[in-house]
Amino acid sequence: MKGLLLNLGSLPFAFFNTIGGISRLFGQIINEIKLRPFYGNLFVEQLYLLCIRSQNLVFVTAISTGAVMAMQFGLGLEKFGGKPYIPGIVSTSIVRELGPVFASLVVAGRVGAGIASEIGSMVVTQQIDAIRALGTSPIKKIVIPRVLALFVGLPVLSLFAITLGIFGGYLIGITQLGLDGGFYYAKVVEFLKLHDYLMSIGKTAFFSFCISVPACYYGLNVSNGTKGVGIATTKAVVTGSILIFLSDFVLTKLFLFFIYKV
Amino acid sequence: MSDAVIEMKHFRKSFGDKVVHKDINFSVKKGECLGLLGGSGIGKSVILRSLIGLEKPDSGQILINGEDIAQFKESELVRIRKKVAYVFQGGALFDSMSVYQNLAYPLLEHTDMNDIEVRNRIVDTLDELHMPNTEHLYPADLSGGMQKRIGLARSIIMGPEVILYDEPTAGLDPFNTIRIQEIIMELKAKGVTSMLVTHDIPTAARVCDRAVIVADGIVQAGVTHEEMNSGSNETYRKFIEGELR
Repeated sequence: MKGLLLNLGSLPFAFFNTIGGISRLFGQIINEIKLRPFYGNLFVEQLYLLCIRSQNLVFVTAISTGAVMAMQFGLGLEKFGGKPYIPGIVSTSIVRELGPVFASLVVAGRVGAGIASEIGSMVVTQQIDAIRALGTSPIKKIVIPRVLALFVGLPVLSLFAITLGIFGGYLIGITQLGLDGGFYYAKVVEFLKLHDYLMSIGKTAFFSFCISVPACYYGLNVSNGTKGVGIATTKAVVTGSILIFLSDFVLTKLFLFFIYKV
Repeated sequence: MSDAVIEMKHFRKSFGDKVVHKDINFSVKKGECLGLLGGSGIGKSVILRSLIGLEKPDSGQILINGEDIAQFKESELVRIRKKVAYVFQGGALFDSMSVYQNLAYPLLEHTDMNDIEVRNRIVDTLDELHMPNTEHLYPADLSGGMQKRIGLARSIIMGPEVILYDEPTAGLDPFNTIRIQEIIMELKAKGVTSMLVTHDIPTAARVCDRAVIVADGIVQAGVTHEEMNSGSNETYRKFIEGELR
């Protein structure tokens, strides 16, 4: 009982310790990103490993989300004669919310876990120490290429996901709901504005930090050997997902305020 | 001014509530090889790691060529780490890189060598360690002994002034142990200053000019090369007979 209470008592400390650690790591990234040398080859390698290799997962999620959305809205709105609104509703939801959030969540699962376990294994096998002992910085060699790759790659992945999500809705619209293809396309174009895409890109760029920085932090702070690597991996995915949801709310509020003044 | 290349003065280090080192003092002269002996878990590697700034002391001085590196920032330590090489216990090779890429790493980071010069240096170093034609292999393809030797090769490829060996012979067969001993002695003959953390008493007795025995957070005794081989030092004898932990 006493142990349980002590554990509960240490939770706030652990929480603020983690927040402080992640913030400190972010500060180190900002400090070191401007220092030479810039490892362009590592950036390109990570862009391939983290983003291009995630495309199948993201694309399947996107197309099925768009298709399911169209089916659900079709079923609900048909009763009220609202079928013509389906293209607009589906595409706006996908561009503003579902595209960036779902793309980021699946990337958080795949990439966040990968980053934390890879860096954690490097810590356990003293490879991170070796990087430091050889007079180089693990922040520059390991962390920055991953953070930058996701910052650049995730918005691009999300744009592809959005396109495929809309396409998924379009397919259901014309095959299951009896909507005309030209009409569907025209409504999508009519409903979507440039600021919707900018909101989407802005969100995913921010979400990229929610995924990569905690994953690197947990990886770099692995203790207790391989057991610690597993714990770090889980924490990276959970933290990344929670941060995506929390920041999505704040960012949506901010974007709506700036765009619609609401 | 002291002629010591490495000096540790009143070094104190704790992890949480556990005080590992209370007051460690020793020095190593240029070209000398100092052994660091002590029981398992008493923090010998912590001392070695502190000498290149991988650990920060709670208090005390760590002097490398007279410069106190104890409070150096990471960016300031780069200069020291180019001169002081660390040989990790398991080699700590980058497992996503080939032997060639592992050895090229410090050269590409810290020199202006072109590709041909880098290749020549790597081939020469591998020949020196009797490991020719291993450039294309990956760490997973190498035995434990080979990994240690490649780790050693990566550490010496920049021509360091000081080498810190962390258990260089642990887990090796007699052939590989003798190979490592010979490499350490060859480097010592070239004037490289070194420190050796080990439980391998025959290796320490063969390659070290002196040794210090650490226990209870302090240096219990200094032992000369002759004393190690004759067993005439009482503290040393207690240590090898298991009476001192």
